[in-house]
Amino acid sequence: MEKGKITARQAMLLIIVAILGDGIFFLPTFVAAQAKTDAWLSFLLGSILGLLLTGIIIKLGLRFPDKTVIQYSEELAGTVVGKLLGIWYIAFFLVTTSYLTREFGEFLTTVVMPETPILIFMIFLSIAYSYAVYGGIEVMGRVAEFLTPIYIFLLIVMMGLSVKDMNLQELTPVMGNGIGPVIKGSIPPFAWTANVSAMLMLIPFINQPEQSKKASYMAVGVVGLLFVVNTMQAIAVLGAQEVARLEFPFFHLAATVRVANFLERIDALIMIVWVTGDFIRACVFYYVGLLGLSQWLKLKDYKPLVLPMSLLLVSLGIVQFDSIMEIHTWGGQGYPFYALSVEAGIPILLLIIAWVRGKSSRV
Amino acid sequence: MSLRRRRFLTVMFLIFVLLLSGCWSRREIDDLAIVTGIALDLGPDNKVHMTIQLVKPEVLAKRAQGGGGGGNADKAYWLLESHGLTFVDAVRKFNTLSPRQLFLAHNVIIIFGEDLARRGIASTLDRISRTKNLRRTIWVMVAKGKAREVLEAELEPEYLSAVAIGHMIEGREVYSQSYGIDLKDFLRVLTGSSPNPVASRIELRKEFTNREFWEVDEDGQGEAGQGEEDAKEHINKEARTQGREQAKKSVVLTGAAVFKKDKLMGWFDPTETRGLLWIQGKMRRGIIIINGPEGEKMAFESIRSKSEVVPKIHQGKLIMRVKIDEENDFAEDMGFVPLTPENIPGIEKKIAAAIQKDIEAALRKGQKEYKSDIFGFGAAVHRKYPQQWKAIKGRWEELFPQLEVQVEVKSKIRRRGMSTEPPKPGGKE
Repeated sequence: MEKGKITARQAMLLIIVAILGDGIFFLPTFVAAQAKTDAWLSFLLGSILGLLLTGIIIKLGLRFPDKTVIQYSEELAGTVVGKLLGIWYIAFFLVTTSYLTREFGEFLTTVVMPETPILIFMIFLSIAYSYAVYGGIEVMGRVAEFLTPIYIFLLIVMMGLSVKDMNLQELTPVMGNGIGPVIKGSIPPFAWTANVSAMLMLIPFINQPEQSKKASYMAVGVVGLLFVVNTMQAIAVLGAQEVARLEFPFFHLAATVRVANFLERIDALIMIVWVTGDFIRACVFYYVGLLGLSQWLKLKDYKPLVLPMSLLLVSLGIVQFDSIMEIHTWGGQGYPFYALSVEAGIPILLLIIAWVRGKSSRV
Repeated sequence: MSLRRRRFLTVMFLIFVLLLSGCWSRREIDDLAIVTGIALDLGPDNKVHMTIQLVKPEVLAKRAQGGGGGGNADKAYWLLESHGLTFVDAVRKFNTLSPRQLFLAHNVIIIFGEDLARRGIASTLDRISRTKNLRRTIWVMVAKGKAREVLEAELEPEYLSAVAIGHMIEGREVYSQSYGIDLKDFLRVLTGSSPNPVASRIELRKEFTNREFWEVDEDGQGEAGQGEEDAKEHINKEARTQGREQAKKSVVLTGAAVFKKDKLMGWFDPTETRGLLWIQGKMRRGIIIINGPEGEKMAFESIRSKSEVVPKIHQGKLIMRVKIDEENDFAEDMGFVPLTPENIPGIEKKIAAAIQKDIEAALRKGQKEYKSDIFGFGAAVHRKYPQQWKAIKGRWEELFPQLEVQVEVKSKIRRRGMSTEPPKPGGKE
């Protein structure tokens, strides 16, 4: 089993990119379709909900700082229910990995290489994340330490360059249609920030578990801030209706940057952001899913599973959807509820049981 | 690691290197035809006729080196025309005409012909916004007449008319009598709550650029000797051909093309365009000419301006208030009246009145004649009164032409350039 340890800081960096990875590309479209000019408020609300959920997750995780959720769910809820909750949790992370392997390919075929079979992109991504996951949590932690600062730096550069194209009046009226659409729109961002529930698996591998509280709050806070700013900008530059209409608004935001006739066409940077983000997101999800599965099956090691499971996930990614329309419909309307049932449902349920039964492995 | 294993790995890595050099969607630069301009016209068969301007990099390179000498013999571009039932059909058809693959990412402008624009361009824009390589920083314009002809225009000293027109639009802010909008903003306005965009208007001028040559030709018979006569004859001949060569079409970029939804309604002349720019707060710099205290012309250059469109509901009636604050430099004085703190307020009022006249001209045509809310008044109401907007949204097209618009202009004169007074002959007493 995993023997490595990471620092809380590395965990934070992993979680930040694991949420932003595809969120920053796909979410604005989903949310703007509901909330229009108020999409940024939806992101704000979703992130606040995410922060509340972080509190619950950390409370639960720190009750059992030396165990993963798969291990203590049986202890808390009994063997049968515990196993069911465990597999529900694991399946979500694995299915999401396959979902975003597919997304990775969809983006690249749409934006850069339309003739290349999507399978090629998916296989290359899966080779990369399988390799990292095979290396273990320490390897991933170091990768995050190296890549995340670059990632965030590029995001901020791109955002900074499009400030001058903003039309702030596009952001008004604020809540012209009442708060209803804002709430509806906040569900996808909430589901994405709730990815912090990966911490339920990571806490035992953090060298000082108590620090994971601050790290998780920081991660969700940073993500929320970037989400809100990015969405405000997309709406102010492109218009709310356009954001709702575009396949990848963030891409257009970068592609329209034009500073004094010499700094333009920076969309190549977008590729770096996309590939890095999706890679780290896939690493985290795959790792959590695989480690969970091996613990669920009571295996000695998760490494023999890495290759066969990645083959399964790539195939699943292919058969799961017929078209990008299906991906978007599922991603915007079905997936968030599925995600929340796992990411929010399981920790809340387990925490209640732990309270009622007074269980904790802290001494 | 054993030797065999190491060898195996080396071979594997070499194979990977081979894979690196090629991928499915690669495109080499010399297989590409770089598109700089796209013109779309409505053909007689009701199809979209598409003309594209393609760069000949070889010619550009030769000119840059100063070689060639062929002069006009080789143009730096070539034009291709194709037509199809839809935009994408026309685009792909180019592959049956061009030896090189089209590359759209460096396109600068997209020009709609008047006929096509009057019929509506939303369906064409759909395809354009789906195309991944066509960037949203391209300029959108409407040609008076056929769009194709604009691509054939010659604009010295540039070799590519599309690129030249792109520069002209970028430079429009110095004079502010023409409109410029890129695809991103055009789509933003079109999908917003006042869905009436405005685009650049471009017009072709058929004009001889080098008149002197023709004058030489007319009184060429002189008292010169035979040898000189021959030389002159030679010059004339050359001048004539050169004159004809240069008697090409040039373009002028003034005014604006006004849309209602996605259909072209008509044109704004330079004054109306300026009025529109004032209202939208897009005015950058412009010359304002007024009659000075002694009836002479005085020119001011507006250097900074701010506009605010505020809807107001007054006794159940919707009123638009347009407030403009602007600052001027004193640019030119045709008389000899120096500016003093005493006469400045009066002159400032005159400037404000001149601006107000521009605005009223724009309102008259946009509001009363075309009935198209290009000013964004509907969007302003939506922003300030979202609840009331829901009620009047459906009737806005009827309400808008009757809307009362109050214009308030405040002008200031700040500076006067590098001299204090005009150079009066004989100096000041």
